[in-house]
Amino acid sequence: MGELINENRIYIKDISKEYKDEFGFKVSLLKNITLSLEIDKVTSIIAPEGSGKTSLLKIIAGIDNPTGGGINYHHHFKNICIPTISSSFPWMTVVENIKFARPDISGENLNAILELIGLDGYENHIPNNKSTGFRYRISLGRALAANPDFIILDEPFLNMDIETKEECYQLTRDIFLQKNIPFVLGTNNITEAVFLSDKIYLMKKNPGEIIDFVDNTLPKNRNLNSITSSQFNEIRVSIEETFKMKESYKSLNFSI
Amino acid sequence: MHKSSCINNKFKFAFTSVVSFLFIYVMIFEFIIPGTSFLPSFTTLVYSLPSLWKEYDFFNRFLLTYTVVYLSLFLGFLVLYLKRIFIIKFYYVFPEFINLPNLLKYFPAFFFAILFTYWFQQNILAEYAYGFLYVVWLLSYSLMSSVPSVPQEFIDSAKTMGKTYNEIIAQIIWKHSLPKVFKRLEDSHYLLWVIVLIYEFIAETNGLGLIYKKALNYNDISVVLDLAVILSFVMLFGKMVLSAIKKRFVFWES
Repeated sequence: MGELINENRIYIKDISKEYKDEFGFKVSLLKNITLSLEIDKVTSIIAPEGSGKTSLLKIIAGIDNPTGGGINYHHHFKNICIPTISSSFPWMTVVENIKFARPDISGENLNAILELIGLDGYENHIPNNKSTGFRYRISLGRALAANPDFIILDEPFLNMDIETKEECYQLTRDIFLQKNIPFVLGTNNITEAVFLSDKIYLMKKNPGEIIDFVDNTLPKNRNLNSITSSQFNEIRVSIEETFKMKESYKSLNFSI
Repeated sequence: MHKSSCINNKFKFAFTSVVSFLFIYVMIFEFIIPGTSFLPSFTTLVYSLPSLWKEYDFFNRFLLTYTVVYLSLFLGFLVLYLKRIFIIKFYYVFPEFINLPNLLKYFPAFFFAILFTYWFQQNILAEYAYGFLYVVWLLSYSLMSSVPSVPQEFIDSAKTMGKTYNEIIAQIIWKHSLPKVFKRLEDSHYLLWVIVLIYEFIAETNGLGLIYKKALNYNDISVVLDLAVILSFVMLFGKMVLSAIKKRFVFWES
């Protein structure tokens, strides 16, 4: 165990989450979840809908508590969560949204973030009624301003159209490579997970349990063309087969 | 359709309705059935305007009612703003509080006007307090009932950024609830005019409600109608100003 805890990873050990349903019966949502999040990797958790992904990500982000198990780390990690509905605040401009995370940020640091998320020139725009991609970029900028150790993404691409999704996939991967900030992605979309991640955990539902993991062998510096490669397809098929064997194949998403 | 053009159309429609109503009134009571005792002719209405101004002391009474309505709105909103953290925390401690209006649903609205009159007679300050308390109650209730609709994602995002409970309330929950609170403020503006007029009618304080009472006692239906037309334009203008403030300062949607 000691060797599993070092300054380069968060080790999640035997996490369980239980709750009582409306009749008072105990329901197990997450059961003995064990995984490690490394600071030089994008880690994905693929799971069907209703398997407890959001609860698990909230526990990792430190905004919910498990009923069993715990998180072991060498030093305290600052994890920023970007939820499914990109939570850029519609009463703040782009800059005010970013400053919400770090009020003292300005000048070069602020401009660097705006440039990185592709919103330079949009400083005073307000995200009210703007596209999901625009709001995702703001959420990403705000997370970056907070100087996080990990950025946790809880299905942020769910409500985007295909073109916006593709742009946001590439943006996320590019930010990971440029800034060396690791991401943890919860998703039910296999293509998304394989493109974005270096390590993929497979989780089944009822209760949520890790059934396997895959080390992604795609090159680190990848672009959207790699989605059509045979290597990509092999990884995707092996993930599908694993889910089929565990009868958790339904409600997974196979398209972009 | 663009939101601002929707608002403009709404006011155009309201203005056109009032003008159309006046036109129909003129046609019926001036030309088709003049001299009926049912409603006075348009000429009679115009001739009774000087009497409304002088004998009924319109200006001073208008000033009092107008001040009660808009000062109540302003101070009510100010108190809501200053006490927003307390009100939202109160909701989290007593969430069942928002069901209270269900108990009061069948309670006659003028009861409180009678109660205030019984306690304070014709005290002007009591009238201000009456309007102010009504606005504070209405806005506080509106704020509390909009708290459950704040997306959990907003709160979770703020939590992960290390924001405190009070910061989340002031910067997220309050801001997210503001469009609904302001909508309630706009909607209740008309209601506030009505309940203040009812109060003045019952308590016989020196406002426009007293003009209604006197005009009714003197069987002066022309003044009652003159006042109704003037007030409809004043309320319409008030609503336009409130909408403009909302458009300028509370531009987002909940």
